[in-house]
Amino acid sequence: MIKIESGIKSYHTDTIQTTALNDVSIHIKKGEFVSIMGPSGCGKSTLMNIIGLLDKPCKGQIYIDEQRIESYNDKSIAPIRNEKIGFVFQSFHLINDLSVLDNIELPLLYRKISAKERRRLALEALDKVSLNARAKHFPNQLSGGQQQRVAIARAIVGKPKILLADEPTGNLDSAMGNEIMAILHDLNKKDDTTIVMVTHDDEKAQRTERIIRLFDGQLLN
Amino acid sequence: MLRVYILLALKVLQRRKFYTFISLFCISVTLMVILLVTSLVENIIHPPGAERNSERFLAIEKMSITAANGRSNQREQPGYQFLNAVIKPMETPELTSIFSTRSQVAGFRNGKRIKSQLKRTDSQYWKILQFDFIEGRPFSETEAKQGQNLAVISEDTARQYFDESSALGKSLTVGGESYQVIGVVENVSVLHWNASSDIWIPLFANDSTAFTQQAMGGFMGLIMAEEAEQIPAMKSEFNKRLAAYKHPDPKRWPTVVSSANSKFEQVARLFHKDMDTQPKTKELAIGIIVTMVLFMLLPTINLINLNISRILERSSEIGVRKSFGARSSHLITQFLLENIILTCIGGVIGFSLALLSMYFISVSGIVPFHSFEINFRVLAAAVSVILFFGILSGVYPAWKMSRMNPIKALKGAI
Repeated sequence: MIKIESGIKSYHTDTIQTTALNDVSIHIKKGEFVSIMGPSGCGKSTLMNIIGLLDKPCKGQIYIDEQRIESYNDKSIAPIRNEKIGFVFQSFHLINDLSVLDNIELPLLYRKISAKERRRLALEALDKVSLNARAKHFPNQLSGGQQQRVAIARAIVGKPKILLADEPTGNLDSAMGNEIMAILHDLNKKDDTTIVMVTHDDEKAQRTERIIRLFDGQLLN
Repeated sequence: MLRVYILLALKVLQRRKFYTFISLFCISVTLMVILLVTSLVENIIHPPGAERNSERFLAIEKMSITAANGRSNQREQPGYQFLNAVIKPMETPELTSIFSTRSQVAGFRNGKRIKSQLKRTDSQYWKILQFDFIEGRPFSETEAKQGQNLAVISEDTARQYFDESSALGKSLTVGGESYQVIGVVENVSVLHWNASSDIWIPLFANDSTAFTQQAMGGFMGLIMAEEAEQIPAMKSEFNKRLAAYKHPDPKRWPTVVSSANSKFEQVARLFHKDMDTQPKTKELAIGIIVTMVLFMLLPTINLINLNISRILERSSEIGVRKSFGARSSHLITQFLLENIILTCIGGVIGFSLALLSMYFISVSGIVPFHSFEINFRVLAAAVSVILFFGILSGVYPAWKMSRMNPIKALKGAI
């Protein structure tokens, strides 16, 4: 489902070059639930950004669903991000001016879908995270856990094959964190969604099928 | 998608009230001023009312004579003799008219002095200019030639001398002469100077004929073609007849220069005194456009600046949209639409302010008898200004936004 071969990513300033990923190769199969762990600055977010096609490696190849991507331009990458990948961010990144339902509909705005169908799919996604009663609320009227559930609904509304969660429980207390983990596991089991999650929480990582550990931009295992 | 964009645009405007106020203020005040100026210019160049046929007529309102040595030069309105010799024999115009420029006369009512403007006109004047008669009629060709003491007066003059009662048939005494009122016309704006006056009397009224010998001073001419397309032919014939014209004192004044001008050319001539050259209509049009663009540029730059800072506040939203598959074109469309909605609201406010100002200027009498109007051309100008604002102030910020790196945008590290 996701393959990175010999991925190298480095950042340059006028005086220093920092290598964020150094010859990283990973292969994540369809339907896998994988967590990425490592200390701060080890390259977890860079790896997630490359998998999510938000960033490009300096060297190496990326395959998403057998499609080699790294040479694609922004215009060609946008529909792949839209159809195949869903993002869940640590700080939710909901648009406060839009209602819960309008936030969830956002990825569908960039597809040729009627407004009626968009609404139906958004309600269906909201149902999966058990927040039907909050459809017309605005993000700032919800708790942190509820906001993250809305963010998950937004990530899955387009039925992507891959869900990328960047510390999805990082801003939540343990009870809410567990609720979110339960939803992610459910999506992985029932919908066969491939999930890649960055986490600092060893306990939550242990509940995933595989842990990818990074240190100084290199794989440990 | 459109519904969500519009909803979001309105929410953003509501949330950032100060930004919205500043933007709307810039847009609406600029639009108001531009609409006022456009309406004024439009009203002068394409006048409604009495001068509504202006596309078919040319005015001869200035002439100059130069001495043989080239040193002495006089420039003023043409005289009756010149106009009678040059325009009356013309074949291309359907109608030709000679009339005096306005002169001030005074009358009295109940011991109170009333100042008015008076014009002497021939009968064709009333055919070229389409006055709206409230009552009565203009004077006929015979009445004009016989120099009968008749008068057509404006609505305002009628009210001053006769209150609300009918002025027809009544005697009006101004400048020591009495005239019988045979018609009352709607007031004419001072900006429509070919038609504007308070009292119009026949050319030869009061047995006045002394002016017929004067080549220069105090008169104007109008020549009207059957169709607007015949204007160039009419101009050409005027120039030929002008070249053939000899001043009554040809040895002293061998060179006579004049021109027949359209309304726009008449306006352009106000800005340069040289009679020889063509009226600088192109320069005037460019000048008006450049001034307007410059006038619009300042608020536009201000809006661009405001829009950029607004975008930076919304970098997280841009990051999210990009992460979920928005292309640059989607973001540009969204932001431009938001900006166009803002400018349309500003446009409606500006348009309302302009209408209000026009009403107040009209009733205040700052420009006597002038009523500002919004017609199709002024409306088109207003829509163009709104689009100019909306697109120009939105394009650069939208383009900048669409190129944001999604990772940096999500982190707010732009």
